[in-house]
Amino acid sequence: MSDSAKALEIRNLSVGFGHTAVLRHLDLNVNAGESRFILGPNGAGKSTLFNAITGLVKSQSGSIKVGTSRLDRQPPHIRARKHIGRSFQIPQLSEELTAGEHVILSLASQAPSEARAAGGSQERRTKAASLLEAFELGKFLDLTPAAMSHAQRKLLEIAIATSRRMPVLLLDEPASGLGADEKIVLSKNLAGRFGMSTTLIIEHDLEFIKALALPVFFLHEGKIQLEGSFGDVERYAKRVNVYF
Amino acid sequence: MKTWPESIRITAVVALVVAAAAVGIVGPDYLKVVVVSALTFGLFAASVAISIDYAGVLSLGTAAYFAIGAYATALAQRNGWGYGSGVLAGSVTAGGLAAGLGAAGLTSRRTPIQYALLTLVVSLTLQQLAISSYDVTGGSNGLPGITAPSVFGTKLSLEAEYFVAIAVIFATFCGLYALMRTSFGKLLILSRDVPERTEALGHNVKSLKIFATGLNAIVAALCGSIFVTFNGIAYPGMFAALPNLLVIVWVAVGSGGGISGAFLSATILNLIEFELGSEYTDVYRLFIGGLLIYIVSAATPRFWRAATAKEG
Repeated sequence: MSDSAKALEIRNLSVGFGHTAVLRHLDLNVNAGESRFILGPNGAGKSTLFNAITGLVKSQSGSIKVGTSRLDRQPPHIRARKHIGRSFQIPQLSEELTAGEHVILSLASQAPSEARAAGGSQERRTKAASLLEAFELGKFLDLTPAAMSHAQRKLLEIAIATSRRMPVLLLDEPASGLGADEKIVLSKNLAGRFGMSTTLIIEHDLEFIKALALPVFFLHEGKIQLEGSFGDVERYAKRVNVYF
Repeated sequence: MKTWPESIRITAVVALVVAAAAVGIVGPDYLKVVVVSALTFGLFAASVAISIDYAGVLSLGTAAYFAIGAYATALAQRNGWGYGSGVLAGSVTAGGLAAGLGAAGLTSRRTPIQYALLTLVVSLTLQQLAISSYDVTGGSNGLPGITAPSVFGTKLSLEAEYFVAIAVIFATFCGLYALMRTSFGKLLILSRDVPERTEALGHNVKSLKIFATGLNAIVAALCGSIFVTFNGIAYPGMFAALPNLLVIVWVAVGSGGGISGAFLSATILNLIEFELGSEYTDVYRLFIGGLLIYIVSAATPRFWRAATAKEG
């Protein structure tokens, strides 16, 4: 386990929009360096949970801690700068910046000590090139997303999110829209990174979930209903008649 | 609307500056005023392009910053405070106003069009203030009789003032151009296109946008300070709707070409205006009207994104 990984502790978290409660007094603990899937049916509140952790939506109650830091009292950009790396379900890319520029900006967007460790501009470009190579995107270093397929954009999104060494990493449906080959590339890169950050992965792709064989949180009706192996969750979901 | 490649744009900017230097050596005095005014508007448009093209913030009141620079410089000269203090006061006031408007208007609770209209209304209110405050600002007549600045008690000749102005304009343009090519310029583009990604990398999108509008305001005020000493007057019409819209036209014509596109577009359109405007005013206004119609229907998506971009 890396020194940078820190435990994620969520207590009594509630989030709602208008009169609709999405997360209801949710509790969740992940030890430093552990990686977990979050599974649940559509509308269970999985992306809302990520948005609450990162501060994109405001929580109505509860606490979110990374290590000893209370995140729920910090603005989103501070949480992102100090504690959390994140990928989005739909790739968040600028059509005017090259793949390399996206990753270089990410490498430069760290706490001062980490940014220094990422080196000067030439060193960052070398790091960006090697990261893109690992995701089999090396030929796009100086090309904009217009030259990339949807799956390649998705891999670039993950490459950006994983380029920074953050204590907590949140990945929102990283395998969706990927073909078999790209899923292998993704699995290889994520497996090589587990332990460096405390990682939560929202996913619906059963093949991918089984391949990585990580412990699972099952989120339903705004709460963690079960914590266990994928098999445990699959049996539970069948019993309560919920599909994910 | 297609734009020229960057290498051609930069070559054109350099050619314009070289041509301007030649005018300084062999041109008549009236042409020097025309050229330096056009280049001043070019730099002004380049600064507005930082807000619109890079940060994705559409403001309809940027002429106010230009006018503040002009009035501050004119008032400083009237009161014997020196040119430098006028430039400084104009830049600080304009930058402060932009920061205040950004803090109030660039929030998720306001739409981009609300912010754009807020800046226009503030500019029009300042115009009324300039008209009403007769004792300080000269009312509707403005502050005429502004002359070249003095250095160590000696008033600069037109030639000297001209070359200093060209050098300042070109140096400022180069500074802005270099800044937009750094990670900061890329970050502004990222914040314009994907604000949630920018926040997820640990940057405060609202602060980035406020910084971009502040930089726009400071450079615009500097342009106003240069303009007023050549044209001799600061007047309330500088805050009016027309100059506020004209600069948008200049930036839209150069849109997609970054700050060099805006610089070229504004400079060339103004040179055409000075050439045509004096003899064929009606024709020129029809030309601008036609250009506006074309821009509304054909400007690059990059430009119009500023009107619909999500705020921080």
